[in-house]
Amino acid sequence: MQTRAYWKNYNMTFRDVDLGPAENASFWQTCPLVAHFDPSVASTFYDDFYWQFSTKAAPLGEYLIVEDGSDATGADAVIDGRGGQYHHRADGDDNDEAYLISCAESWILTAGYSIWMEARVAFVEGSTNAGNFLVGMADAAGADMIVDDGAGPAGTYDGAVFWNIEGVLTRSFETSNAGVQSTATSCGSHVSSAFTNYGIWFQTESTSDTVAVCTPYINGVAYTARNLTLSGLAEMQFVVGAKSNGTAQEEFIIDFVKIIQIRN
Amino acid sequence: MQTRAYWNNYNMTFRDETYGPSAGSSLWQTCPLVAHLDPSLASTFYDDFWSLPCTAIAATDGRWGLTEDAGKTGTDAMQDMRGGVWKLFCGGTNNEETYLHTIGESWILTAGHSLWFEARVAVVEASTNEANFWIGLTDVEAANQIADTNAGPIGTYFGVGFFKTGGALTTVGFETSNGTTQSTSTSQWTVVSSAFRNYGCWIKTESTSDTVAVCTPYVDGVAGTAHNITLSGLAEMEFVVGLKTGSTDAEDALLIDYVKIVQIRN
Repeated sequence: MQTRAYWKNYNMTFRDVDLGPAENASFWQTCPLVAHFDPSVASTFYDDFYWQFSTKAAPLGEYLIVEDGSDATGADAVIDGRGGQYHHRADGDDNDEAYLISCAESWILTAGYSIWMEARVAFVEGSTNAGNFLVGMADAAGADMIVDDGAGPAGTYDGAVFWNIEGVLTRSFETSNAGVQSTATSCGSHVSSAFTNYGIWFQTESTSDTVAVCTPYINGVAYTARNLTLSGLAEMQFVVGAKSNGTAQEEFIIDFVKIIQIRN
Repeated sequence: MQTRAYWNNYNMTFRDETYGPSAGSSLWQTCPLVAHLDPSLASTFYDDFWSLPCTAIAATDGRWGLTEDAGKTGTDAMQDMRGGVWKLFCGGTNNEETYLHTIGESWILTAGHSLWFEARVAVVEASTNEANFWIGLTDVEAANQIADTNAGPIGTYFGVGFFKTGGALTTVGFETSNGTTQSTSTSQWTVVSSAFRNYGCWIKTESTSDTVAVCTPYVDGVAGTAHNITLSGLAEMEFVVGLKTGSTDAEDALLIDYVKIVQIRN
């Protein structure tokens, strides 16, 4: 164990030679250290999923559940696994879906208020290449955040998401300001049941910015950034979900989500 | 973005050139970084209010309770705002009140156990200047923590906090109290209805032989005049944020963004 300070993106941060992360291998090396511990600088939403009691019928705590009928096989529950993991299932009827959504719209992109969001999620396909999955931040997240029949994310929302659609192994990423959506960025290939860290750095450091630079990260590695026009954006929620193509039920397991946003 | 280490009060801490805080403008620059990270050194209570903390009927997340009159007409609710914000209403009849409090008395001031707390709160006045509020740590979680008729905090309790009395927006004060021995500074700060301010206090006692703690109030990261509080006889405290309606009979409310409390554990 050897913990060292070093500089990344003009940001003094730390890494451990033995325990990691390696240089340039963590999304959080882009986030100022002070934002993690000084609440006057930034807000922090962090859930390691040691418990999750909210249901569709009885919302409780930080999350809402939006889903179709409850004929999925197996209980939605925190499962035995290192670090706290919550397992949720969408049933297998065609276009049936399930989403875990933060209960309030607590993040809004405005000039000078950067956001760092990362979630570690495993999407579990019922049949090979048959699932539709989504994770990210969006306003008014809810039913049909994933459009039916493998059509990807909703055609209008404010935010940015990763997604994977039935029949395609490619992970995609887009930003959206209402109906103005960026061309999808390819972020590698989806592997069923494999935990993956999905991160988005919404970078806007000046109050005169007109766009935020949204850089997607998969397992700490940056992919092509997209600009998101700030004007007109609404408050966002965190959302993760799955939708079935009718072949089998689709599932997701979430290990953690952490969201930091500059507060003032 | 340029995050740099620097020293403040003999404490190595960090600041970012873009996001702040600038040197000397955050309460947390006085708190050792290791106290945030190492639970064997310090306890940390932090709520960013991402979900409804409780109702008068049920403490929904186990950490908070609510003591209040029955007359409120507004609906306590999460707000669609950056950073997680909860809105707490108060009845609109003169002297009706509401207090959000932690469930347990989990903090006690004893020699050598420094404490830092900060809460970001806005008061939403229904009638200009009329609201009374209290933000701080006290052993008394009960009705009339704020005395009736704009009389400020109650006359006996163990704790430290900020308060505003009805009648003006310039009447935010700071008080320490050991039983009936109280040190009160009135009219130290001004608030603007619906505008957030950060109310913090560094309660400093670094030696086990201390007989007093030095309580320095911070508003928006800027230190005010410190009060000493005698440590002998103090009881355990809860964190309380409360509101009492003024004489104009209109329903006031509080917006609560976060509270963070760090205390040396051993």
